[in-house]
Amino acid sequence: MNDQEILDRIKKGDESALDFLYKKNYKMMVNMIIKNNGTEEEAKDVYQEALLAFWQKAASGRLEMTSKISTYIYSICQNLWRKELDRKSRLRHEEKDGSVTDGHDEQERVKIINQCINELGETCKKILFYFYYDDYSMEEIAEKLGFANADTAKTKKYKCKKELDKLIKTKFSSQDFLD
Amino acid sequence: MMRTNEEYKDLIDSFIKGNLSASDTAQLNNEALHHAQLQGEMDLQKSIVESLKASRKAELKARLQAIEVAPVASSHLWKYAAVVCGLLLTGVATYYFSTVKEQGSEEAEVTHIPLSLQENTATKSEVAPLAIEEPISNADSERKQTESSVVKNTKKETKKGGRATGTRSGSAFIA
Repeated sequence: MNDQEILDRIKKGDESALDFLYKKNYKMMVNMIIKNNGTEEEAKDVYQEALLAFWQKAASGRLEMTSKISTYIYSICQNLWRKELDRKSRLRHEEKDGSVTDGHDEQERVKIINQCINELGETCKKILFYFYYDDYSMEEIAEKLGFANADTAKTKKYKCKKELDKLIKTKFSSQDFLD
Repeated sequence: MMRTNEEYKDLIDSFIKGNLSASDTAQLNNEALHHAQLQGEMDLQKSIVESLKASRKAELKARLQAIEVAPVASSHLWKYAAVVCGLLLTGVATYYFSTVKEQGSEEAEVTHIPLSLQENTATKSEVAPLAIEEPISNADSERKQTESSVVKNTKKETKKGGRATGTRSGSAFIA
């Protein structure tokens, strides 16, 4: 499979293209991080993050390739690993200073939202995931999920989002938000 | 002009997806400053979208995590193991050859002992011609070497109970 075929398949939402890329470049990406003081687990995590960042860009159609896919992912891996090393270094300093902050309220809010997302039906989840994460257009969502057209996908998305908002707002004090 | 809640929700959705123009974004932010409920809604919608994205990401990551790949670290371990084995072999070989060398020099000394013992037991007339056959130019250095070996042998012999004396062996070469 060449780069153009991979991009076309990602654009169509074919997740097997992601699997193919993952296996194809695994050794090269993981090796680079291991050689730069990382463990294989850290390397794996960074590589997965990089690959998903690539997926997001490619799926949304906002990606203009000027190099090979592997070169592009390699540079994302390098940047992410540099950031991770900086974060680790900062964390060590913060631990020394005793200045670690906890976002308990935010964590609690995220926990409630995640519970509500899991209460949604599979189709609703997929529509919202494709719309917000993969950034697919309504036409693409309709095609992927077998809806009649983009308008149907738009109506479904609206209903699903409303349902999620409602679920979440019942778990918070309603006067804090719009009805 | 105040908008309806539904209009605000659409506006917030566009804002979160980054599809709002700069002027509309500035206007929305300005309105939120004077409208606590609108600010609360914007914060909540941001959290919801972030959570939706995180859930989708977790789903895709789980997919990748399930893919079987040959561990890279193990191939590195093999390389390290090979290097360690190489170093061990070099060490063992060095030790072996240095021991053999030492044994060789000890054997040389041991084979020299009977000669000196022979020298000790030999009569002056038997040994004298050997010294004469030595080249004249090397005579001094050879003499020094011979003397030192004689001293060594003397020490060994002294340890063994003084079976031979230094003057006896020395006198054999001086002549």
